[in-house]
Amino acid sequence: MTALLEVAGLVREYALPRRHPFARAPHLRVLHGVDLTVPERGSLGIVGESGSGKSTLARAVLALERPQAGRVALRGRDLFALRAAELRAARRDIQPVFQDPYGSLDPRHSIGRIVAEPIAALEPRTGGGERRERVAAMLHAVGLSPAAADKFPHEFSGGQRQRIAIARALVTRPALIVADEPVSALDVSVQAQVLGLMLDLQAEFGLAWLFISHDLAVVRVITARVAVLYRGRVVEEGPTGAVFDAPRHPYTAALIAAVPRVGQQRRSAVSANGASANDAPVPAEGCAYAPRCAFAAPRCRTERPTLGPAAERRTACHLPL
Amino acid sequence: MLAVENLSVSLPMEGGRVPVLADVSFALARGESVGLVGESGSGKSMTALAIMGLLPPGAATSGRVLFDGRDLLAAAEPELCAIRGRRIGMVFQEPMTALNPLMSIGAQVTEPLRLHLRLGRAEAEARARRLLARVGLAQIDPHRHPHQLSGGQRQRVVIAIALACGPELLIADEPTTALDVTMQAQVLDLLGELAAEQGLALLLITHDLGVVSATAARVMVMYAGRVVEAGGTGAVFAAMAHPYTRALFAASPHEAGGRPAPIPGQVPDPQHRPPGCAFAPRCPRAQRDCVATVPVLSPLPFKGRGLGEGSACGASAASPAPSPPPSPASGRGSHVAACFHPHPAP
Ligand SMILES: Nc1ncnc2c1ncn2[C@@H]1O[C@H](COP(=O)(O)OP(=O)(O)OP(=O)(O)O)[C@@H](O)[C@H]1O
Ligand SMILES: Nc1ncnc2c1ncn2[C@@H]1O[C@H](COP(=O)(O)OP(=O)(O)OP(=O)(O)O)[C@@H](O)[C@H]1O
Ligand code: SF4
Ligand SMILES: [Mg+2]
Ligand SMILES: [Mg+2]
Repeated sequence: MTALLEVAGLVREYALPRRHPFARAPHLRVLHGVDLTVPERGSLGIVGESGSGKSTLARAVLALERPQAGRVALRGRDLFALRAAELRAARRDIQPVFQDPYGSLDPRHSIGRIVAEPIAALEPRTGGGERRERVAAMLHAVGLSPAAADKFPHEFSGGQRQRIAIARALVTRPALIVADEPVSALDVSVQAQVLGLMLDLQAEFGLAWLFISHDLAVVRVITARVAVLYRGRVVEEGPTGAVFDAPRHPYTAALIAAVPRVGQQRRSAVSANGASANDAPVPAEGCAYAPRCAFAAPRCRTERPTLGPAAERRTACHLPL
Repeated sequence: MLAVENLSVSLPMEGGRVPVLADVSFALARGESVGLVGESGSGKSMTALAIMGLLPPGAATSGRVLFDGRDLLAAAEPELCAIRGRRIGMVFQEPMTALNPLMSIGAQVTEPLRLHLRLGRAEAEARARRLLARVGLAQIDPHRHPHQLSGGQRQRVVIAIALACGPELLIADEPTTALDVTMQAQVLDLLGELAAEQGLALLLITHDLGVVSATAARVMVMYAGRVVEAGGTGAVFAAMAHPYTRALFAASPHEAGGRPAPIPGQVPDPQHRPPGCAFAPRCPRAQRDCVATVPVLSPLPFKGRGLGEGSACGASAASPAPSPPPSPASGRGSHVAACFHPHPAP
């Protein structure tokens, strides 16, 4: 059976500012061959530190940015090999929800127009009556009254705006929602409401989620499986609860230990051998985490560990915990 | 160093002036940190803006904001300008709006150094590089523009700018929400180091109770424009007295363990605040007396009222609702709550 979403060998590079006008623009490789799968109705969380490539991955999966290598396949069809019309059809099946509930809704448009936007763009032949009906149904599904359609974004709180963004994402009945930090800007109570809504919608609409967050607790609530990204590589993957309860990759373990909890002393950000979070250089060979890893052996500095073939749990580490 | 005394703020809205902050009082000494938590719309950012003199136009204030003995509410704009960015650093809630998209990040960190501290170009650039390194951006070329950074990297640039001139007080509004836990820990460690080395005082606004617990010595919980519970962080979390504090805790995915419980209902907007305790319509412990008068911050546990320690419950028909003595300035670390029926200490 083909998976709903299959990402294989994804490589993404960005050009950096030139040092002087005639120099070649240096390139920064942000994703180094990422492999992922999301089954139909499944949910995969992506966690990792700031700058690890989570948002870059989301943009590639949404076909907003073309990767330098690798493929993103939806139900077996490579998005980057499709013609424009086919890509538009495929886009109905993958919809985004972004972090910023303020910036992502156009303040000049009514909520009705905002929610209908994907219909207008991707199913232009839909009639006005049907469009209004579908908008009303989606607003209802996310717990807003149909009257909301005539209002404007500034009349809503952050949590309500995020519900509107979710309604917009659902209106084309997608199979997959790519959510990049969808609740990070919300306060805890609203966050709890939105997370509850996402869980309910997953069951109701048979949705799959690719759920990106730096917040491990949120990922635990929402996702069945999780992939841990470190400097553009998946270093661990498996069932969310199992990975968080008994991490096998030393980086996952460090990430979990750093979570601040009420009543607990926070662990220091500095890893065991003193290299502080993002400052550690990425070595040219061996394990990218070796400079920060408390367990690194000589082999870790020469031989790059790989994730291996698909399995219930996988870890790219020579000495898993 | 900072003393906020009975700060109230009202804003002009449709239908007249509406109070958004009422009677907020707290003090912050050198090297001390206080966490301010509460739901969206509870008045956290408004408190920060009032201290900085950046309230929306038409705002009316009462009370005092004493910084080093000067009342900032009475200060003129040029004086405030000299203080802002230099003696008081501010991290605003939306990092993207705080950065100039057309300017390289290096130039944005250098600017306040040249403007406020009048450093030469080379010195300012060297200092900017050190600042960027301290927030974990040593590997990032300072010639990059904000759109060439990840969300968390941008937020750290904003923090570097706020710290550039070595302020005595940092007001940080959700400084770590876009950061992963290790980066968050590094930023909080940095603030801790600055508190120890340079006596930096910190007003930390966040909805993450774990961050407050790990960083701030004292915590203030705010609801509908008022402080409803305050005290030493350890004491408050060990014996959360106000039902609102408990509800916030239960809503936190970190603390709930399982599906977090949203607080039923919504924060009332300032035009529609209910009479009495503003939390009463959402409160599982509310009684009839809660909607009659506004509870004031009172020391905990309430002793010697014949109802047992920690219980000031007016539910018992025999005893009238107690009116504990008001203590507006929630003195150094003592645990206070504004509630007629607080949870008893465990
Ligand atoms: N347009 C760009 N040009 C150059 N570099 C970029 C660009 N966009 C992102 N980067 C770099 O790519 C890396 C990955 O960025 P990305 O936004 O994917 O990170 P992230 O995991 O989403 O981080 P965060 O948690 O901070 O949002 C970062 O180091 C960032 O500086
Ligand atoms: N410019 C403004 N004009 C009128 N009312 C405002 C303005 N800014 C904020 N308010 C209102 O003041 C109240 C307090 O808002 P404030 O921004 O302080 O909340 P907050 O606690 O910082 O919330 P959040 O967690 O969402 O940032 C809210 O009810 C808000 O609607
Ligand atoms: S005063 Fe009453 S309504 Fe308000 S929090 Fe306490 S018990 Fe609840
Ligand atoms: Mg991101
Ligand atoms: Mg705010």
